[in-house]
Amino acid sequence: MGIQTHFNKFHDRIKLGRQDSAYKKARDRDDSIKGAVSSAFAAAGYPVVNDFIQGSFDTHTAIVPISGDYDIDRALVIDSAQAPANPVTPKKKTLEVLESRGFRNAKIKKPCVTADYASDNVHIDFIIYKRSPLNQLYLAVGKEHSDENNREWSPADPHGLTDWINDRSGYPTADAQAIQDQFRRLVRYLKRWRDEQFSPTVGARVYSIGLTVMVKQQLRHSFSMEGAPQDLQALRMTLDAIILFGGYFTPELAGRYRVRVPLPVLPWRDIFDGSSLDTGTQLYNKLDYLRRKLAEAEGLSDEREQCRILADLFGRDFEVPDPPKAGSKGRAVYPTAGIVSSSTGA
Amino acid sequence: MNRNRIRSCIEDLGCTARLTDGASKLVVEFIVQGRSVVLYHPFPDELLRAPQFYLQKGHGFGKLAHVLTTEDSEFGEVCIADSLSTVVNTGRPELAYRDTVAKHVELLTRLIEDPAYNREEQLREFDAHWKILCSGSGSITNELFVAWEGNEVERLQVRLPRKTKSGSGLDIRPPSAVADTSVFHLRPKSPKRNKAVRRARRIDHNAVGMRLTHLDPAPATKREVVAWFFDIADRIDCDGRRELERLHRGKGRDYWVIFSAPIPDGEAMFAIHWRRRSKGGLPRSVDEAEAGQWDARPYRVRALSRASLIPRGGGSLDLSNKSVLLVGCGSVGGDLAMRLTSAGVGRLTVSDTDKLSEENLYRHILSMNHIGRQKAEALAHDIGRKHPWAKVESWNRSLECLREPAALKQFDLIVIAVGSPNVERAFAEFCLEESLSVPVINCWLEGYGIGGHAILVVPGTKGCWHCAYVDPETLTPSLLPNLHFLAPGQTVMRDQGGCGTQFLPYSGIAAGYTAAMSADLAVRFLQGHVTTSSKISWKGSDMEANRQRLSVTWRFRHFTESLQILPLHDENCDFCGA
Ligand SMILES: [Zn+2]
Ligand SMILES: [Zn+2]
Repeated sequence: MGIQTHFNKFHDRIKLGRQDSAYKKARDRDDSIKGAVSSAFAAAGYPVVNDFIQGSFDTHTAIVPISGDYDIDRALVIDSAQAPANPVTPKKKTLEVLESRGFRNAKIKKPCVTADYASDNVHIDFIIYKRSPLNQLYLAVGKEHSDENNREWSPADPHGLTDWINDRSGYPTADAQAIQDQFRRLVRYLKRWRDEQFSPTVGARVYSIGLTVMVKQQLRHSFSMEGAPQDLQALRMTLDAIILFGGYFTPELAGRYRVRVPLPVLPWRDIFDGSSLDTGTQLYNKLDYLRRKLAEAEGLSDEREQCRILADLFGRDFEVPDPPKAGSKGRAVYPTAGIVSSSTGA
Repeated sequence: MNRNRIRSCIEDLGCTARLTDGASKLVVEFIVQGRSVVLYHPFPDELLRAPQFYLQKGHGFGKLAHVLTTEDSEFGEVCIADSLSTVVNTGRPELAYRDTVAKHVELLTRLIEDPAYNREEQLREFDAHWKILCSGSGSITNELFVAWEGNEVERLQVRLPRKTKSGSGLDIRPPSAVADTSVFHLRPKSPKRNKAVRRARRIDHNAVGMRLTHLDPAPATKREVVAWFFDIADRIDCDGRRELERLHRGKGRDYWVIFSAPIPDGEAMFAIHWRRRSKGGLPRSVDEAEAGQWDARPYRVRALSRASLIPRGGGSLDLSNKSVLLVGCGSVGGDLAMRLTSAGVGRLTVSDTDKLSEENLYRHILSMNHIGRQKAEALAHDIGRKHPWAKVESWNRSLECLREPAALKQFDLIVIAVGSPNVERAFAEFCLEESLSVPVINCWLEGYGIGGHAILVVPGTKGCWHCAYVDPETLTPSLLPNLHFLAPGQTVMRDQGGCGTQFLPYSGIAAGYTAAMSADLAVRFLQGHVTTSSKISWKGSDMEANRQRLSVTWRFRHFTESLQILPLHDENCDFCGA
């Protein structure tokens, strides 16, 4: 057994797919509330013309939250001809519905309306777009009491971002799937690492999309000669690139750092726009520590030693195996096929 | 070629040069020790090698090395270097001439001024000088094939060739003869013909091979051979002396004395054939030889000696005590067997239960006249004829029946070329269960010329058979080797006539590559250059696989290490442990 097997086990534990039952419950809650919001919009004269779930499911980078709170980014699209001029209007309508349906802490944030559903550990962000006749989406930006200067229908391209993340045209065709899979695993590892290593407040500002964009741009894939993934090396090399060549971190006074990661699609804004020096500094220092510890683990030959380091970084879902039992030598068990056709001769 | 430019270019060296015979010849003259050395050169039509110069005889410097003279010529051919190892600037012939003459001046000056060097060089090219003495009538050289290692004093038999116009192989035409100690398979195939040949051949028993510890340069002329012989005979030690004494008291007409001796950087072997019309013992002195009208004829020796022929063919003598078992005598195995003995492996056991069939013909190393015969037996026979010092044994046993520690322990290496994954797996598991200490190579190829592989498992070192069977995707044990170039789960076998007639499409070339590569791994292991479990692959083209719409593996796409020996160990192998 090599270290990759442990990464695979870790990945199996943290990955979250659309069909996973833990997530299903959140989706059911989301579906019912979505229906209520849609009806309210229709009654107000701007019916929902399209809706989708934004974020990490379409990019296969979602992870099981350690807090147990499931996040859903629910996008609702209305037609631009029917949309109110004030982008905050549909957001207020959404807030009304949420409050009437028993959501806690419902509140209008700049890009969305956010709320926790108390009994189900579900956290839903409603994101409102209007759609122009040319299919351009505009995000409803603005807080409850924002004046005209601080609210707008801002051009956005959520599908373009998903496509950009899922794009593998830069990889050799035959290897693209394997490389993209490795990319997704690396993003999941980093997201779990963030959840483990940051306080909830700071962690909430280390945006998943920011990590995803950095990994996508700086990906250094790694595979054995036979094509077996080498996630440890790949993650370490990718982090090296992020820290050393990415240009995401600008040093400021007193060893502090500002982090900037521009969106790779419309509206090209900085994902970390408005984030504090404290966030940048913590992210820089922790990423740097992470890559050093990964390099240390790479240099070790003892698998359990390696796992101990990795468990410190990624948390308890990265399991440290029991010491091997002495003299356990038996027949190999072939878990997959019973018969395979062979292409050998002599 | 501008001959005047050549001439003036040579004069730049400080020699005198002139064109004669209507500028068809070049004469170059230079002075050594106050005497003039004259070189002739007839211009060739085309300059295909370094220009050949001839030294005029009667120069008064005595016999010189690198100057080959025959008795009837007034010139001696000067050799400055092996023509094979010199590349000539034919675009600038004047430079080629200038450099060639410069080399002649340098060489001849040194030979004349330094007698010790001259002597050593004469010894170094003893064979070339001796060969000139052996010229008979026309272009024929008196030659003797000798199957003798040249170490111990040994009585030999000389088989004179049949007086027929042609022969093949070692059925040598006159005036060559064969001296053998019968390690050689000189007999023809059919016993019937053998008898006829035996009858036709006269066998001389008055022959002895003996070792000289010290050699003089070859005599300059045939006339000097008799005196030269008694000179060296004086220095023969006791064992040789005893044998010589036997010949002195002999009652024959023919005597053969074959010598071996050390020369700088090598060994020389040569023979002298004594003969006269009436019977009597070998003469003891020049006077006796003259009085008895003995004719002493120099013979060139073509040594059929293990110690010289194996290295000359690129084989290694230190493999002669190695013992290898090769299981599987198919296209890969057959070729592999031949290559192992060619490399010098001294003992080879080949095992297969198959008979050679007409279907095998085009990619098997064995020829048509073995059809219907056991492949292993036929192979042992052919190898014996090709590599006479290899001891080849054949077994009629399959790999599954060879799972017997007692039968296997005697070998230094087991090579498996059966191309049958199930049996190979069973054998590998048997080796692990029995903790067999004999290293094993498995080799095989994939279809459509895409490549071939070999793995070497050295028990007790890092990397085991299972390391080659870790699925790169799941990192769990796999039924197919992770070395493969064709992606798993595809039908590669081709069907010719329904059930049981499937075959894997590959060429004799692919089999040959696989055999050569595996033999290389085996030899490097036996020589101690590879000590741990290893793997090696050759990657071919995927053109044919593409045409068959077969997909290839990650390894194929990224493999750039053809024929390189790589560690077998896979870190995800459960058997090797952490
Ligand atoms: Zn020479
Ligand atoms: Zn292993």
